[in-house]
Formats: sequence, structure tokens, C-alpha cells
Amino acid sequence: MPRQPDRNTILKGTLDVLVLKALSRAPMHGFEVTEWLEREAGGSLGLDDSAVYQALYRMEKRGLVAAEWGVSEKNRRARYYELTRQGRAHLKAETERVLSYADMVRSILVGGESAA
Amino acid sequence: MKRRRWLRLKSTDRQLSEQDVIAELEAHLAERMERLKASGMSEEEARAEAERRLGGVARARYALVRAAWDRDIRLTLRERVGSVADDVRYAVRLVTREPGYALVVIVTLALGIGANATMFGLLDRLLLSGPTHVKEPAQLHRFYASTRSQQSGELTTFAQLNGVAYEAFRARVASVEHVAAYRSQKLTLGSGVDARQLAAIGVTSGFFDLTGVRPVIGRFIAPSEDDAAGERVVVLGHALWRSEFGGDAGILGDVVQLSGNGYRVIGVAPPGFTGVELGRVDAWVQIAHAAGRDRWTTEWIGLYIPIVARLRPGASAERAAAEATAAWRSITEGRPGKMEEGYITLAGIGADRHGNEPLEARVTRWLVAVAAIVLLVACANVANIYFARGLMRRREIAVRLALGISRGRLIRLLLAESMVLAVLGGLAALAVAYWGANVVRTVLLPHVDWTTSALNARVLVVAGGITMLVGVLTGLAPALRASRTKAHTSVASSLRAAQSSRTAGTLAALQAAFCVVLLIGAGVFVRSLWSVNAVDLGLDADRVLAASFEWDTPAHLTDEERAAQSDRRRTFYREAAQRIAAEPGVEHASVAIGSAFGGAFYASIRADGVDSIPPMPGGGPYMSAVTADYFATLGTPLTRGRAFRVSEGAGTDPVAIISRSTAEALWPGADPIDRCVYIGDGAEIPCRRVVGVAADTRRFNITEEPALQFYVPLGQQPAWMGGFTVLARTGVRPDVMTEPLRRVLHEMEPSLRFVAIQPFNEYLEPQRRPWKLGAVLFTLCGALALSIAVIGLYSVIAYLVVHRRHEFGVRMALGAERFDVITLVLRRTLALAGIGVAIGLAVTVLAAPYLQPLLFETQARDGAVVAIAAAALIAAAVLAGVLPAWRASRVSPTEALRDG
Repeated sequence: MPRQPDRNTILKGTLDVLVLKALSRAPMHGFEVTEWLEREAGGSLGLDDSAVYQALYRMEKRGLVAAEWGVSEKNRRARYYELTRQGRAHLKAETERVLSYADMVRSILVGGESAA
Repeated sequence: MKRRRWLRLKSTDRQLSEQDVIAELEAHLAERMERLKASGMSEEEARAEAERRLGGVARARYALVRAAWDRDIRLTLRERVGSVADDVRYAVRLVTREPGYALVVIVTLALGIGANATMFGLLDRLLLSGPTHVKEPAQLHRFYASTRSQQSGELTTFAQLNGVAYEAFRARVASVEHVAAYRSQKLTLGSGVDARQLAAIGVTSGFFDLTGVRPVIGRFIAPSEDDAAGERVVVLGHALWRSEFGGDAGILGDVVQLSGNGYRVIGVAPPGFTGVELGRVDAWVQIAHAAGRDRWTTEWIGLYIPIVARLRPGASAERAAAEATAAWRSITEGRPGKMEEGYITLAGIGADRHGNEPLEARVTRWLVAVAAIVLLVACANVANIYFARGLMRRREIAVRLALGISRGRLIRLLLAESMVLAVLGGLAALAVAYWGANVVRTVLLPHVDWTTSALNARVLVVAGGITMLVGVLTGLAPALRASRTKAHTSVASSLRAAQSSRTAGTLAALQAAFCVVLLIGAGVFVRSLWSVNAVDLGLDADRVLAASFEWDTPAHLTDEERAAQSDRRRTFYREAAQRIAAEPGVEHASVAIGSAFGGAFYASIRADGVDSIPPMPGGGPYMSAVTADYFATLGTPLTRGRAFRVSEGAGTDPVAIISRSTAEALWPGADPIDRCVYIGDGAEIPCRRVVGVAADTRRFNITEEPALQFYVPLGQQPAWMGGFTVLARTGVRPDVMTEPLRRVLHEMEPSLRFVAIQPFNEYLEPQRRPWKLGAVLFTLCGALALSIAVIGLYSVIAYLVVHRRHEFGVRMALGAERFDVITLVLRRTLALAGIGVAIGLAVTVLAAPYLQPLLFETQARDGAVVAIAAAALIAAAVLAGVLPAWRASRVSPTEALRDG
């Protein structure tokens, strides 16, 4: 499958908030997060799976998520991530920001077309 | 990796991170493969696809291991900081739960740390920092000339040189890059009653380059202005600029009148700049004008100015001294007094006029040690308290240990408590330091121009450092011992308790030793101060003041006019004395040329029946010319004969009064009345009859040796003697009369520019200052240490009593009286105190030779002082022990036995 560079760049900036959103439901391990993102996005994300892990490690370092080794339903060892209070607050703020940015872009692009 | 070393993470930790990543990736790949296989792929296809979606196993692993390592470092750091924060929070909670104990610790530490901060501030100002705005003061040196006295052959070293020496050093001492000379003088701003006397310093232009100071506005004196022929210029001191000229920059270029001359203002010095000494300076002028001569660098005149220089970087003081000696020899060739055999030495700018460290500075060093001792006493107290608490909390600690806390972690927790209390004590110490600094500045060292705040940056840094050290010092040993608590504590507890009481006892004995040392130190300084105050000055310094006069003199007078002016002034002085004597509050007044603490004039004399005048250690013969009321004014008793009569003066029979030492030296054992002395060296000198013998007085210093002194009536002195002083004896405190008398005198004579009135005590106070400094601060610290030690001893004994309740119960049940129990406890108390006294005495005996040079007419091992100090300590110990002893005796035997 050919990689789509544009989608990559846009996505990487917002990947953090997407991962936080995934974890806002319940604690998940890394694969579950990837699965959830693919499902919600309606297909492939266009990113390597390792990017998701990088995002998780990054946010763990910043204190937005906390991780612990546990056991999955399949009785396998898995590293579970959950949102911290700080992470929840960050999710709320970033969601607002990203959505309003998306709205602005949308209105410019859509509005511009009709003017032209 | 620097970060790793700092966090003390081992290299195996990186492997752990790597293992974590590998495990996580494996789990991910396994899940992905399961999904793919469920949708129909084979094992190999699934794996290939899973790895592809991952982004390549090797690449992913590489990137993720780096990210994981980064993350783990940060997480570990956060955990460590978090645990420290937890410890601190826990410690703060403990402190708020038991405010009483916390308060005792905080106050004790505050006193100890505060005392040290104060002493450091003092040390910094006097010894470490150097004068304000002077760059690299360690490179600045003074020149000292050492010559042999013609009379005694003794080597004297003095700092007061002259302009010829200055010029020679400037030209020929290659090892220095700046040479400057300066001279203190008083200048009067304004005229009349509202005139103000300024502390001014005349300097050579190089002085400002030498110190490296920069002006606030304007400029400093230029080399072209070093010549006395040019215009007079002045650089204003910052404080004067603000107070008299409103801090207005427009003052530049204006001319101000100082002592009758116009000086153009060329600049303002930065705040706090006091030259190379520490006293306040109001104005800087050219030294050439102060020298009063046009060729002050080429004529050998008695100018008496200090010369300072800055060493070139890398040059040695010895080299500079050798070069200066060569220059000195060349300029003193052929001069009288064999001066060319002298030599030059260099000393730091803090040195006094003889090249030694000033007494105040040496006392200060001791005071720093004293403050450190007080701190140790305080720390011993606090450590004792922590030991006791450790014992009381052993159950809690045992539980923590059982729950798996590591010993290191436990020690850190206990240390957090001592650090928190130390920090609180350090903050409270700032208040103590502020108060202490104010006492030092206003009461003990008022002559220093204090411009920096009492809590300046250096003091704060030192206080902070001491606080941290105290926190560790007081907390570490108790924490280490407490961490060794065993979970099963019943048997170990009595052992622990015994050990604890031994430690507590040792610390208490040490505190007692420290206190003894401090008390003895305080005692000998107080005794020195007492001795200084008790020196028989030959007069009542408490009641006398001296007035000296500055006149508005027109510049050019003919010889006739000058003679008429002198006559008018002579009359004025006598009238002034009469007028002052008529004032309420004044008992006597007199006029004198040369007086006690005002200097006197050397005159050679011969005496009847005496072949040669015996030399005296203080020198002489020194002569003063005085009016009849002089001795009554000063309160100098006449041991034989009478004072001068009012009628005696110019034109009457020559008479003289000699001092008692002079009488003893000239005619030992005989009556000197009516004998003859002859003043001067000429052939036809009339006999001057001795009509009275007066008690000895001093010319300048309290600590002077006796000298040959004599007096003649005012009017009978040789024409070359000049410099009138009016003296007054007041019924009330002399400083109360200063302003009223100034007003009276200015009213009498409007052409007076300034009348300087100084009570004798004000003049003498700086001379007593080093001993006052030592006495006050040693005593304060000694009292402080003693109070802290008493509290400490009290808590040790109280703890002991509680711990041995069972034993006391047994004793009383077996028939011991309450009194016996009390004596038992007190005996223990006295034993501790006794050990302390013994150690303290030993230390004193060893340290005595170092303290001796600082004292005045007092032995460092003074028996009375030692006895009083020991007695005070024993009394304090008894005081500390009495309450616990009494409580011990009130223990009901049955209760005590039951508790056992």
C-alpha cells in the first residue's frame, strides 16, 4: 500500500490526542489502542504501528498516561496504559483546540470554493 | 552519559528498558498475527504483514528503545523527587502536629544560626569584603617605613610618610601599577551656626584608578589637577549629594564653599564608597591643596600621609618592598636621624598605623569562633531531642521496617524532618541576624559607613549553607541510630535507652564545656573593658567637652592686620571661656594651648639640681599653656601646691606646674615646690618657679605611658605655640550642652565659620571599642549558649528521670526518702556539669596564650573569672536539674513499680 506522506504529517501532530481519546474509555494495551484507532478511522491509519507506541511512550514520559504490566484476556502479558488526571485534562483542552482548528480550515477551504 | 551518572542508574537499567520494549513488541506482533491468520493468511504471510505494518522490526525496535530509555529516566527522576516531596510533606505534618517540640527546636536553631550570620556579616565587612567599590582589595598595600629611634634605639614602624616618598615610590617602584596618597581632613560646609563639618579626604588623582571605582555622575580628579596651582575641585560623596544637594545632577559644575574656599563640583562618588578605609567620606578633594604647599612632592615637610599602591598582577609584595626601600634610601640620604638606615615594608590596606592587624579585626576572628561554639551547643541540644524522639517513635519505625521500607529510605525520611526544622530555624534566624547586625552596627561599630543591608546576598548565602549543614549535622546520627531499631523491641529497648542516655549525657557534658569556655572568654573581656574604663585618666572624662574653632579669614592681610587679628582672637578665647562658664549647666571653663587628649608641645627643659632630664617611656617634656581654671575644669587634682591664679599670665613672674611623674623623675622624694625649671636651650633663661604638682594626664591615648608634662600660665608660653582650645566642665551630660554652646559662641562672634564641640568621652570611645566589642558579644553569646545548654540539660535529666521511674519506685518502696531521690538526680546532674567544667577549663588553659594579646591588663587565665564561670555553670546545672529531681521524688512507688 503506498504511503500517503501528507496524511502522515497531519496525522502525527494529532496522534497524541487520538491516542488519549482511545484511552479515555478504558485502560488498553498497545495493540488494543492501534485496533481502536483503525476501527474508528474506518480502515488503515496510514502510519506505522510503531508510531502509536512512540506516542504512548512520549505521553508516559510527560505524565499524561501511566503504564503497568498486566495480563490480557488471552492470558498474555501485556503493558496496559491508562489516562492520568493530567492526561484527561490535556485531552479535553487539545480536543477543543484541534476541532476548532479543523473547523477553521474547513470553513476557509469550503467557503473559498464558493467565493471562487 | 552525564544524566545517567547523576541519576545513578546502572547500565543494566538500559537493558531493562530494552527488554520491556522487546516484550511489548512481541505481544503486539502476536496479536496482529492472530487477527491476520483469522482472516485467512498463513503463518509466514501473517508475520510478514505484521512486521510491515509495524514499520520493520529492527527500525521499530531501535526507535522505541531510545524513546523507552528516555521515558524511564524521566519516570525514575519523577519518582525520586516525588518521594522526597512526600517525605517533606510528612515532616511538615509531624511538625504541625507537635508545635511545642518544633518550636523549641526552631528557636534553638534560630539563635545559633542567627548568631553565626551576624558574626559572618561582621567578619565580611571588617576582613573579607574589603572597602565598598574597591576592586580586588587583596592587591592593595600600604607602605610602612621602619626606622630606629635616635633616643632609644628602638625600631618603630609607621605608616605616615610624605609627598617626597610618594613621588619616589611612584617613579621607582616598578612592581606596582598605581600609587596614591591621601589625607583625612575636616572641611566646613557653610558658615556660622548652621555650618556642617564634613569628613573629607584629599587624594592624588591616581587614587580613583587605584581603587577601580567609577563615578555616578561626572568624573574624578584628573592628573592635571594634582597641581596645587590650579582650580580647587571636589567630588561629592553620594550620601552628602543626596542630603545637602537633593541628589540633583545639575550640581555638576557648580562651586561650593568649603572652609572658605570655592570648590567646583566635578563628580559624585557611588554610594558606600569610603576609599580604602571604612569610615564615611563626604567629599574628595585634591591632596595638594590639603598639603597647603605648592611643592609638596619635592619638599620634605611633616605631612604624615599614608601611601597605598596596587601590585601589578604577578608581582610580589617583597619585591615591591625592596624597590621601595631603595627609593627610600635615596631620598633620605643625608637627612637627620639616620633615616637612610630604615627600610620599607608592605602590608594589606586593612592594617593599622603600625602595620598590624587592627585589634577590632582580631577580636572579630575570635567572635566568629564563639558564634560557631554557640551553634554547636544548639546543635547538640537539638540532636539530643532527636535521639529522644527516635526512641519514642520506635514502634512506628519498627512497623515501617516490617512493611518493607529500606534503611536508606527510612534515614531519608527522618532526615527530612531535621531538614525541615533546620530550614524553619534558618528562616527565623534571619530575624535574629537582622537584630544582631543592628546592635553591631549602631552600638559597637558606629564609625563604619554601613551601606549594604544587614541581610545582604553574602550573608544570606552563608546562612543558607549553615542551615543545610545544621540540618544534616543534627539529624544524621539520630536517624542512623533510629533506623537500626529492631522490629522486636522489648529487650533491645532498654539497651537502646541506656545507649541513648549515655549519648545524651555526653552531649550535655560537651555543651557544659563549651559554655564554660564562652563564659570565661566573656569574663576576661568584660574585665578588660572594666580595666580600660577604670584607667586613671587624671580627669573627669564624663563631664568635659572641648571646643575648637575655624575662622572665616580674609585671604590677604598685611602683617599689621594679622597681628591685630591674633590679638582680637586671643581676647575672644578668654571672653568665650568666661561667657561659657556663665551658662547654666556649665561649672567651669578655661582656655588652653595643648591639653589632655588634645596634644601638647615638645619643649626641652633644664631643672635645678638635675644634671640630665631622665627619659620617660611616654616621652616628653610636653608643655601646655593654660588658664587658672584649667585643672578645675578637667577635674585634675593638684597633689601639691596650687593652681595658677587668674592674675598670672603675660608679664607676671614665670611660674610652672608639673605633673606628678615629672616631679618624681626630676626630684625624687623631695618637695618640688619653689624649685626652678628652665624652658628652652638659651643662656639667659629666667627661673620658672614650680608652684604646684598635678596628677598625670594623657596626650592622646588611654593606653599611653607616663610622660614628662608641665604647664605654664596662658600668656607665658613661647610665641611659636598656637592652637587654642576652650574647655568646659558641665554639670549635666556634656552632649546635652553641645548645641547650646555652639549657638552661644556663634552669637558672640559672627566671623566664626565653625565651632567643633566634642565631649571627651566621644573622643575616647573609639579607643575602648575593641574591648567593648569583645565584652558585649562574648557575653551575649555566652548567655545564649548557657540558656540553650540549661534547656538541653533539663531535657536530658527529665528524660533520664522518666526512664528510671521504675528504679526510683523501687528505691522508695525500699525505704528511700524523697530527699534521697532528689540528691540522686542532682548528683547525676552535677556529675555531668563537673565533667563539662573540667573539659572547659582544659580548653581555656590551652587557648589562653592566643587570647592574651587581645586583653587589657587582664590575665586570660584570671582566677576570679574562671571561678565565677564554673560557679555559674554549676548553678545553672542545679537549676536545670531541680525540677526533674523534684518530680522524680513525687513518683508514687506503687505506680512506678506497676509501670516497670
